[in-house]
Amino acid sequence: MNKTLRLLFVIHFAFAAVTVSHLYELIHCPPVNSLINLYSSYTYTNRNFGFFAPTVNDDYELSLRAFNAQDTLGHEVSLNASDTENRIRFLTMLWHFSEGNSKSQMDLFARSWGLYCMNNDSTVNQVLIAVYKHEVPAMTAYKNGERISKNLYYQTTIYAK
Amino acid sequence: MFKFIEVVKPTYPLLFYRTGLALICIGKFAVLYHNYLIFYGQYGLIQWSISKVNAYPYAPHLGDFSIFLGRIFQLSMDDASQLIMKVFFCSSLFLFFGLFTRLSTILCFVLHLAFINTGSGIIYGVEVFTQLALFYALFFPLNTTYSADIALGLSRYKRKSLGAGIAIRLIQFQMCLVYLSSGIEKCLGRQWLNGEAIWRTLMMPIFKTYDFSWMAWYPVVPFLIGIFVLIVEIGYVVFMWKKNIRVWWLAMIIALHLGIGIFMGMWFFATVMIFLSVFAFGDDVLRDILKGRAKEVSWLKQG
Repeated sequence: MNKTLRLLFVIHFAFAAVTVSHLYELIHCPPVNSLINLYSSYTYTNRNFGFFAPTVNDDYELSLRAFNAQDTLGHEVSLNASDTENRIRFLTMLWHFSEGNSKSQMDLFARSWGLYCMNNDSTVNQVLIAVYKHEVPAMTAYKNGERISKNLYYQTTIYAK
Repeated sequence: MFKFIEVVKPTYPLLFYRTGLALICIGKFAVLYHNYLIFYGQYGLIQWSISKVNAYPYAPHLGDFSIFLGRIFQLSMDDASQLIMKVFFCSSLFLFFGLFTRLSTILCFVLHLAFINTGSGIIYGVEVFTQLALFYALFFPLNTTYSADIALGLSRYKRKSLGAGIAIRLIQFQMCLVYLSSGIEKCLGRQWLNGEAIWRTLMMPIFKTYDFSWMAWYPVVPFLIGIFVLIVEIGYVVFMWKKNIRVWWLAMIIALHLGIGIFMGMWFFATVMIFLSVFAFGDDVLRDILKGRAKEVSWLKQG
């Protein structure tokens, strides 16, 4: 390798090491932080690889109930999750939805889902969105009789204008 | 340090890398094909207007490409977006056969990044490591072994090369960083140290392929599995460089990811991780095994 390639090699792994070690949190230099983030967003080589770490997040379930103008019962909008990979994608979406427990982020996702339902069926003018959280009890609690509970985590209704 | 990196190695692992990566790209979209517009469409579950705002200003996005193609070919946004998927599929196929390899790799890299930025709401480890592998593929001499480019005279066959050696070293370093990061991040919480992480994962309704509720009465089992995961991940950075030990460590890493595939159904993630480790250390492990067998044979002959 010539000197340029060697330098690029060192910079590349320096970026990776700085990110993996969380040293970037100590760097209070916006241009450097921006460069590290930009590099990460293109190469995906310098990022935290802590999947399911340090904790395992809860499981979520999405319910989309669409209503027409005269409809009071509504119908469930089913998302095709016939195989595990597609189900994991829906769960990943719900993990991104709940990330940081930000109400504004959750509302944004909900509006997006509501719009999806309305675009798929032009007669739909109202969508009830509910996200349920499956809470897994600790082993000790499970042994004492506690079971996985399904609790309402978020609910909203999106109306067509 | 660079003497360690700049080594000549056989090029057959590059054939594995090229074909394996192409199959991963093809397979991923084959599985998501029926939900393509739901995940990546303009009015899918996460609309383009939202995913575009979350992406970097000049980052590739399906919306930009679709608008461009839509204007040229008079297509709707959904049709243009599906055309891009077909282009990605064709690029992956070209990559598999090593045809116009550099161009097809660049196309796969850019389009896969566009898919990530568009479907940012649904990405997880599979996308991260596929994109990582595609980034490195941009620089690897992937067409120097059993490729259509060689047949067309666009490249020359090389049995061994410095490029192959550097490529393998790059992925070796990257995978060491990945597993070290992963292991240390897990140690920062209590769940991986007391078995709760394994318990929670196996009991989550979405991952529940088998009934593991009996673990609540035998907490030592998830505890030991959790510690095994931590040891294998953190030990990766040390033991994958030790001759004769790395064959067992590679086997343990493969077993770990096979476990993720079997018990969590995350087969694509398992495949990508096994693929990267086998590429990185497979040749070294194979040499260890062959040397070991040669020693055995000579010992038997002497006996």
